[in-house]
Amino acid sequence: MYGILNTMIRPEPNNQEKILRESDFIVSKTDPKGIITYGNQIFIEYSGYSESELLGAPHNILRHPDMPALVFKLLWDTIKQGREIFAFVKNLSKDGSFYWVFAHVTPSYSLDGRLSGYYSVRRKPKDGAVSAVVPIYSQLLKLEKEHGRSRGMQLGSELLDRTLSEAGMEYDEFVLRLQNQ
Amino acid sequence: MTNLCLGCRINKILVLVLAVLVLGLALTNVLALKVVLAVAGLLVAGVLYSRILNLCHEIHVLDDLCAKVGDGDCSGRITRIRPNSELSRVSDNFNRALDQMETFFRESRAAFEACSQRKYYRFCITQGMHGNFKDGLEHLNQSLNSMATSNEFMLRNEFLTALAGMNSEAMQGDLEDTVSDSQAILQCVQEIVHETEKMGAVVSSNREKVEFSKVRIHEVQEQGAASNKAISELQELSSEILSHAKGIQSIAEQTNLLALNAHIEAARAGKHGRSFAVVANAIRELSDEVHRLSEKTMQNLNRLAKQGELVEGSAKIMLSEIDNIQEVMSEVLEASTHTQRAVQVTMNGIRTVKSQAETTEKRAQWIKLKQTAFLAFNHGHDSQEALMFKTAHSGFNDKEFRLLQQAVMRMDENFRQDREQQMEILNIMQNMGGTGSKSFLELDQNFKVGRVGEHVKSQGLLKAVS
Repeated sequence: MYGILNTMIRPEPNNQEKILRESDFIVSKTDPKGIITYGNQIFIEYSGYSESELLGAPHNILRHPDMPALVFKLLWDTIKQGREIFAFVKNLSKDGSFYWVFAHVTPSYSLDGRLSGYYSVRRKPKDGAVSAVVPIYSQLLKLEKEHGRSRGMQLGSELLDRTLSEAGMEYDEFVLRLQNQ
Repeated sequence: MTNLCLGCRINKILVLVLAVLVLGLALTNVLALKVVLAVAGLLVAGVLYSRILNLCHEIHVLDDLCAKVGDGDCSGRITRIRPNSELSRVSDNFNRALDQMETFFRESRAAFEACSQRKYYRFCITQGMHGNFKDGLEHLNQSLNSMATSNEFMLRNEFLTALAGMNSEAMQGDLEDTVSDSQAILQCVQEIVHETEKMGAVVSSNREKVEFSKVRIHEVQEQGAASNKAISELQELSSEILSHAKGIQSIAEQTNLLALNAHIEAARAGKHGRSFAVVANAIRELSDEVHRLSEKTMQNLNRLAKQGELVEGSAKIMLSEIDNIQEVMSEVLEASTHTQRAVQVTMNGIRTVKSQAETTEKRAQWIKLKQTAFLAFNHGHDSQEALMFKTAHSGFNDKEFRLLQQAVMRMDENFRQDREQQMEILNIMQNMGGTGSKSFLELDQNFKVGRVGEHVKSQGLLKAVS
């Protein structure tokens, strides 16, 4: 109970960055509603929360205010359709610092075929990839702040579609090619 | 007993403390101290007991998880283990192993699914994987790579086969047209040859006739010249006669004058001159008669001369006309020589065209046969169409035909998979209406980068074609 209460206070972001190690990845599991059911030691280390604080907390406690809502909408829309998704995400630590991850989320199913939750692996993103997505994200965020969340996300979605069609790729290919360039 | 964890050390200390307390309890005789030692011992024993219970519980949790992993379920993890407890390191390491395993399975599954959807950019991500798991994913990536290559190759083959099939159907129609066109051309050429030959014969016969006429006209010309000469001679003769007639007339006039003088002399002689006067009178009458006759002759000769002039004039005109006719006939002859040569050249040309048309027709027939074979075998090596073709051409054992058969067999293998994709390509091809090289190159390019699905669906390609 203490842990959940502790995670309800959103930390104040500062500009300190933590860089993920190349050989590690963060692993976490959630239930179908996004409530954390497992986090590995790397997750505990980078998020700054203890295991007891993380378990039972919603995954969005890590959401950084610099992240546009559209990215998480896209993420949830995709995984709810049973598909995997890749995304570059800026996460907020308990101490207010941030760390960029290249997140991969896949749905989990129980043996009887029911959705049992989601599985997320977060790796160190390529430097070039982060500098490519930062201007896109800030444009999306600006739209959401200027036009309100719902209208802003709609305009942001159109902007994203244009960016992708200019690149001649679908979203998946776009982000994977950024990470593997 | 190296590198003990904190929990184990606590347990060790607790056991030692308990042992000391029990020993103290055994050795002391002071009741108060015994009570204190007993209470302390019970407390330590209680703490130990609780720790052992917790440990047992955690071991059971771990055991359950091991059993699940043994059953092939890697989704479980150990959580809420007491920090720094005996099993915290075990569970951390076990969780780490499970993370590696589960990520391995998810990565491999996702990458193979993507590969089957031709998303070749999605391979297994090895970043963060360790040891055998990393090696395993790298090996899978190699397999995925070769799968992608062979898929591309297969797609290319299917595409080319579909293209060839469509081309063949169109070509079959074209060939039929070509064959019938060639036949029509041949027929026309034969008619032309026939007509040209006839024309050549007519030209030759006309030439002979003209030559004959030329000889005849020459004869006429000679005769005309002879007549002309005769007329000239006649005119000369008549002018000579005319001068003679004039001479006679002057003699008649002189005779008349003489007769008049004689008559005068006879009258002067009187009687003796009477008979002479009769003679003189008769001479005068005779000379008058001569004068009158010569006058008439002169008149006749003048008329004759005039007629002769007329005849000479028309003979000259006739001769000059004959000259003109001869000139025209020479021109006609020359022209007919040209015509004859032209007919000869035309005949040679037409004969060449005829033999070319025959060759073309044979060639078209041959290509048509090959196309029929291709279309028949395109339905499958053992299809009804192929069997029908084999029966119809059982004596056919050409090298190209065997090559064709081999190609068709290879095609059969490539045709087994991915009907849907194939249909999509065919639809596109049909929508395109033709097979422009530009669109072909674009499609080809898309096969190479493995983005067929999207591009086939996108209207952009169709726009590029139209």
